[in-house]
Amino acid sequence: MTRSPLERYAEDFERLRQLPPAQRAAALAALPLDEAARNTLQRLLAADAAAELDDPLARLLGRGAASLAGALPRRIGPWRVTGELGSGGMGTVLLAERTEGGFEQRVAIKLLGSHLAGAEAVRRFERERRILASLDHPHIARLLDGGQTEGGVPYLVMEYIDGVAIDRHCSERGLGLRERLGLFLDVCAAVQFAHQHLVVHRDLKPANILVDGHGSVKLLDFGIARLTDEADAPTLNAFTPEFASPEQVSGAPITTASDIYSLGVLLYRMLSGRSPYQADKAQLAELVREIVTTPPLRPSQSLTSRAAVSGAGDLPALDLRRLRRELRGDLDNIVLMALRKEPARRYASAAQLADDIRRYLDDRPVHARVPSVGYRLRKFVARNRLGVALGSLALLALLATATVALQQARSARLQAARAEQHFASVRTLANRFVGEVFDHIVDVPGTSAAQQLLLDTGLEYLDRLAADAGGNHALLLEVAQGYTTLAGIQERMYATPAQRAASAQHALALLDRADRLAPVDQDGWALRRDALVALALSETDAQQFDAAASHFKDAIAAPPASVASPATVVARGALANALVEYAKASGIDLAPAARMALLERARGEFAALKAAALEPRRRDAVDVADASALLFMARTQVDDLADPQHRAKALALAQQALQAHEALLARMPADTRILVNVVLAATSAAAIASGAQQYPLAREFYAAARRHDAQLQRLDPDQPTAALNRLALHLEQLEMELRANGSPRAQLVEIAAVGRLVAALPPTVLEQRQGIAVRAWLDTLKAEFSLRRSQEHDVPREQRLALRREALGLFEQAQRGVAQVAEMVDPSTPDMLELLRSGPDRARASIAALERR
Amino acid sequence: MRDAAGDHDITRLLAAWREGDEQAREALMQRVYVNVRAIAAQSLRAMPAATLSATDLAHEALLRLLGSELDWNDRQHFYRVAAQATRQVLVDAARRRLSDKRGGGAPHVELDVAQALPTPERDEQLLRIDEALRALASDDARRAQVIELVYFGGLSRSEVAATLAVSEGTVDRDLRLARAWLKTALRA
Repeated sequence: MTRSPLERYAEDFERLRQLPPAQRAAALAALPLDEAARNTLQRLLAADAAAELDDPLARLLGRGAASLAGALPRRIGPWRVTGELGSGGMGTVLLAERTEGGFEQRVAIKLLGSHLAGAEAVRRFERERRILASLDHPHIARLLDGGQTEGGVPYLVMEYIDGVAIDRHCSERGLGLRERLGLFLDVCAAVQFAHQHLVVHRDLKPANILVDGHGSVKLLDFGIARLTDEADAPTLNAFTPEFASPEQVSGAPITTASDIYSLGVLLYRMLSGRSPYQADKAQLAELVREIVTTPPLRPSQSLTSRAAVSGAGDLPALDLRRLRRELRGDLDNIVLMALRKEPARRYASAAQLADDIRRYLDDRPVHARVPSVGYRLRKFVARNRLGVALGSLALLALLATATVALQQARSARLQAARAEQHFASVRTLANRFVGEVFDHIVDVPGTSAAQQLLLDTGLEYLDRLAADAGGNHALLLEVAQGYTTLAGIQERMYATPAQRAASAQHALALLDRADRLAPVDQDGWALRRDALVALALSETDAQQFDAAASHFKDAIAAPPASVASPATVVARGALANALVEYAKASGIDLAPAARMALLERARGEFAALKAAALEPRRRDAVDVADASALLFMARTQVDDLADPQHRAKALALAQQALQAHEALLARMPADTRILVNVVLAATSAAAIASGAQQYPLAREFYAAARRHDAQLQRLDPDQPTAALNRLALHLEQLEMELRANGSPRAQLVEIAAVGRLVAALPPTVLEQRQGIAVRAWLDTLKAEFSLRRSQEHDVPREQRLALRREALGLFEQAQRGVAQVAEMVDPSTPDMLELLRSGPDRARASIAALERR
Repeated sequence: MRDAAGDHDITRLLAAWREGDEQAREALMQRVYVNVRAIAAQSLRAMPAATLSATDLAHEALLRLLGSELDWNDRQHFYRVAAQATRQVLVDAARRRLSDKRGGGAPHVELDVAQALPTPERDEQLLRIDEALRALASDDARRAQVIELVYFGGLSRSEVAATLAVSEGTVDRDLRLARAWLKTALRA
């Protein structure tokens, strides 16, 4: 065997590299080596010193070599290294200490990967380090210090926590459900604190959440994942797949919502002792697919069999049946809300997640509710502000224009000094960007980038105007109005609730400033109502229902005595709008009767507006809003079970609403937004008639709905709201025909058509769980009608058998679908559920009966 | 997918190799190579944004082929094969990409694993590392193997020490020296 050329250098290399760099040259010169060998050794030593900074192998193969680079350093900065705590994808963690003033301090030192080399990376590291050092919270391990080793490897010094991972702590101590939730609340508090300081953890998992000897939770490594992540090439090293969010594994941008998801995974495990996923971490590809696409089982369902539980020690100290009962309902819903695939549909903050858990612990109703299919499709139709609310939205926009004109006139009178040319142009631009231009392109498909640009530009103008407004009362009002309009536009563009709330808050702050300059009049008060409604709507969408309710109440409150002038058109319009939006706000605990009262008051304002001599365009807007209010009253009346006449009253209101809408349509036949509302009115009337078992009347209404819908499809084939409404219309009518014993043969033809409709829907219209639910709904209907058809006399025996077998398969398929999306089942239709439950048995019995013959 | 027969097969091959059967090692190597390649391709399809590092690949190959209930001795042997197979997969992929860029080669499934962004420069560098490692292995098998196990197999210091039956101190020293040598060889 050849002697390795390296062997001859091994000993000298090892000895020299351990010398301080300053002494190396002299030691090298003193060695008895020939010139070539000395040069080689020198090159090897130089390469070694640089390797920590720039390791070509690690760079190519993806693992930082710091953890493997050799024996532990004895000192790092002022710290004595005493041991190794562990090593992982992000580098090595060392235990170290120092004595200062007779006090011994122990710390954990994290050596970060060598890819942080380079001036820019070092600057970024320093910047981030300063931010992290400011995170001072009792449940977050402090970042004490940081720097670079002699070899140039960046390191962080953190408070050393002598504790165990939170999951191990729970199982070792045999903690019960409430104790576990208590710990989890502390975790949420720490995460919330960091998020408020704009730091996202990005790798929340039990190994990073320790519980110390006093039972106190400490979170480690806040923001470290980001620190070690290469700017544009996220790698698996930067997070832990079992706790990662869908957006993390698919490479989408990471926000605080990603941490909320990881909290959801943690809570799932703390409550059920199980992972929310079927795949384990060894099946990486499968696990990733599941994270992105498969909805998790409810935690309570994950406990169905003892065999599925990985060890009773991991579970809260309760017997399995009781635990299942405790989890079912609120806790299930809380966990699943945190685990929603779409970041925007999770809890908006860790504080909200914590709030819901506190509500659960206090036996108050939680906000996380998993909507049922019926809820999602029907309430969507009823309350979606793109549909029914178009009326009031249009009204708001029109009235807003009136206010702008008013304010501009006033400002010309009152302000000479600051209403200069510059202002005038910026102002015009701001108004145009925020209002008119946007209105023209908001519904044009494929313009979302342009819309975003407009929105940003509008916001920029508004911010500039706000900064320059100074003591200009009129300008303050105007900019406030701009922000409120902006909040409305942001809503239509699906901006986050927080962004919309920020716009509304800007408006309110400007109004406060304006109020200090001059007495408030009715129009100024109207602006305040509008801003409050915008704020409350954003809060509703963020599921902050208490805050929303309180702002809605402010918005409909009578103006203070100081606001003396008589009610103007603008003031009435704003009040009516606030009343309607409050009545329609979902999630807020308001009895149907209270909603009806709000709507009655709104209609009173509409009546007053109609009596005023309005110009035709605004008159139309008021009529549209009034008709919408009427329709919503019909829908609300149905829910008022306390009233024995609720169905009859609702039917009367629905008929009125349909007539009002058809009258509007006659005046504006090409307006697709009115068409959307007419379809809704007719469908609602049909559903109410169907509920009252007035089937012939219901069929008339459905026919009207279909007629108008066909017209809508001709005018605007791609309207997404219309597509969802259409599906709801067809499914509801099929369900009615089932109850009304409609002809199975005709309905089977219809079902085939609806099946094609579902298949043709773009994936953006139906989200995944909705899709499963809709298919299960359709399968149930088809199974039931097939079974009925098989019992009709004109069907030959062979076909009977085929129909019954098909029914059996469909029932079973629908049951599997429903099991997957159990929380979406609409509890208000027990008859449908019973048909589905008994379906397979009935189908089997009928097959057996046929085969016996 | 792991199947019972496959497990048995792998275990048998490992045992035969321990007995000194070089053919068994070759057979094992081929099985592992195919698996590492499949894992790489799959992970690429599943998450185009994330990239698996070489060591993730080796570990997953191990779990997939053998499960986690593996005899310690077998595990050490398997690591050696997995590290080598991973290196081979990466080198083959790099080589093929480069030859495609130069106009040769038929269309194929792209295998962009282990490098955040495979560029011709990175591919060429990987091939140079492979070549340098092979040169080192002919004279100094142990140090070459340390590099392979650490960088392609993802083994920790103590695991490398156990696999090669040397002390951890030796692993540290070998790794440092071999790495420095590789760097100088790459620059030359």
